[in-house]
Amino acid sequence: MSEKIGIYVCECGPNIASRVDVDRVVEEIEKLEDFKDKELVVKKHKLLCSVEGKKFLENEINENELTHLICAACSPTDHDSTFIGVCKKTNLNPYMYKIVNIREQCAWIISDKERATDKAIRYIHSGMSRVLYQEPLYEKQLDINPDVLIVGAGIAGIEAALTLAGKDRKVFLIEKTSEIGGKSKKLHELLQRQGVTPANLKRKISKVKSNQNIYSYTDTVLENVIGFLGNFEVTLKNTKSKEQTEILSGAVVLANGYELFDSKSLENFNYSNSDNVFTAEEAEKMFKEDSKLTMRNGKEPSSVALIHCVGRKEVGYCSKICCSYLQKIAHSIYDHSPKTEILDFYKDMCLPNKEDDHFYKTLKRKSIDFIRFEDISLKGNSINYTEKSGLKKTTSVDMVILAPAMIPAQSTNTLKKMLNLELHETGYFQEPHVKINPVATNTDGIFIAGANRSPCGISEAIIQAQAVAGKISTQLIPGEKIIPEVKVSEILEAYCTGCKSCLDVCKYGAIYFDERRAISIVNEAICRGCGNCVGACPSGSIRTKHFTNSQLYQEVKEALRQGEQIND
Amino acid sequence: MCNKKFKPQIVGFLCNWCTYAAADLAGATKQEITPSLNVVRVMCTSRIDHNLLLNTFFSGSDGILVAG
Repeated sequence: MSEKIGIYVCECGPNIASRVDVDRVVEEIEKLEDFKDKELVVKKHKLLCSVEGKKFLENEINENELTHLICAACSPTDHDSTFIGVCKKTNLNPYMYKIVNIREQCAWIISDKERATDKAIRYIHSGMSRVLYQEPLYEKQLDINPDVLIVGAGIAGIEAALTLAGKDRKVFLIEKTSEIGGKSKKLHELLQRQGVTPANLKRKISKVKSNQNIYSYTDTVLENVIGFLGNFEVTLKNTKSKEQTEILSGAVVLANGYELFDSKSLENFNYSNSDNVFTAEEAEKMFKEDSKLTMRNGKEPSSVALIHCVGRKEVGYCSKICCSYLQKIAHSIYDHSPKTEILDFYKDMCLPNKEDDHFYKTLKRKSIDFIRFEDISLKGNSINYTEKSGLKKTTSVDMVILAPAMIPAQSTNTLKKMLNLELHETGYFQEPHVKINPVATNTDGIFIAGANRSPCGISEAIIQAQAVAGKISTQLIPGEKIIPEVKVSEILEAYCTGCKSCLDVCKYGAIYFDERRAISIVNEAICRGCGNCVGACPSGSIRTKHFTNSQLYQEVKEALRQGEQIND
Repeated sequence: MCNKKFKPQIVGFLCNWCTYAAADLAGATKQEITPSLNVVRVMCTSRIDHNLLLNTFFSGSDGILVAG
């Protein structure tokens, strides 16, 4: 079959037409020596992306029975998908088309109309050479499994499970400890003005237990996960019975939470287990059990010091919630025994939520001593501190309550290795974009929620869990199929030497090694076609579809050959 | 001697996600850029191997910009 290339030059209203001589482009492309033996259809159009323009393009492809298509228009970021959509309505394979950017890369960056026109011709010419080397690619449709695996049954995991579980979607909720509820379950009370109370939390936990679509596995950890969005094969392992369970899920939500910094590891914090030094977590427990603080000797303390930012400097980030929960503890102490002397040692008061200020102000009215320190050290219950002003002071209290920094859970690193994810320098999970895509990971189908992505409080963990649930509900619609990326890498078996270089460089974990045949194989459903492996392959056995060497050479060669003719 | 001013031909391999987007932004803000830069979009600059670079030089390029 002889090639018939359709070249459609878009005027983009006045955007291209005012700065590129579109008529000359059409005229010169028609006359190109290189394409003498090919049939060309060269036309201009006012606005190809308009409804009328798309209809025009569709008719042109059908009537002229084009084998290749060039749209000389705007950036592929804007309308590549629009024109692919048009191709899909016709018999032309969408990968036999190429968009040539003559707006952002010609019209708008070259003020001289002549030179801009020359460059547009050059670009279209090299696009034509490239498109002749393009191959038709076919999309595949894969069945999906809408079920979801959630790792960690803390508040984020519970919320995600409750939001996702439904008639058509099962949720597998796994928890490494023996009960669901996570760290929030241990709390005495939550800031009441935040609208979440322990009773609310209990209700959520009982809802999880009674929901028929949620399958809870306690004392269970993740053993292995293979697969991709819509089709994960998961192995679970019971930590007690060592029994393994195989399940299938379409997405994985990581909500494995956080741990606390060990304050005893600090040089200037010298205290032993017999001293009256407790962490905020232990203080919460005391309040939960008998609504008051008790010293080791069974008596109530008459003076309490609250110390913020323990380990703040060592971990290198603010844990966000400590200032507000220490204030909650101060409130609890005051409410139980107003005569107790409370000293609040803070470095920077971090009160980011709209409710926090109210608490701070009421505490100040209750004449609690807020002391801003520069440096602080502990020797049992005696505190040496340097005030912000530089004044060195020593004081002794009955009880010290510490707010240690939140640190990533140990399981975060295990999960990172198992699922080939990236970690931030602080050790928390790294999202693809902290602001624009905060609950996803670099692997499709794996999401993060709660304090495993950054220190956060309960309300934020719930928001993230709901965000994850929203993402999953739109990506995995029960009964619908997914279309994986088509422009993926492929390995030519005959040339693969089995050096495994590609396995190391693949950020998506899309390549696996076939031990029997001693070659690497690309899992097309995971591959995103970045071509990292192409650059790393010493034997040149990998090619990325739609960005093959020959296609790129043609584009480069043509652009340069024509470029030499510019004289000025 | 050639009297013509030397105009280097440069090929720019730009990453689809970052530098190509930046080049688009340069276009959208109407920055003046020399026509002797020929932009080739790739999905990721990690795809560029020595073969492609050498072939680009063999094709007559005076300089190559790999940005991503």
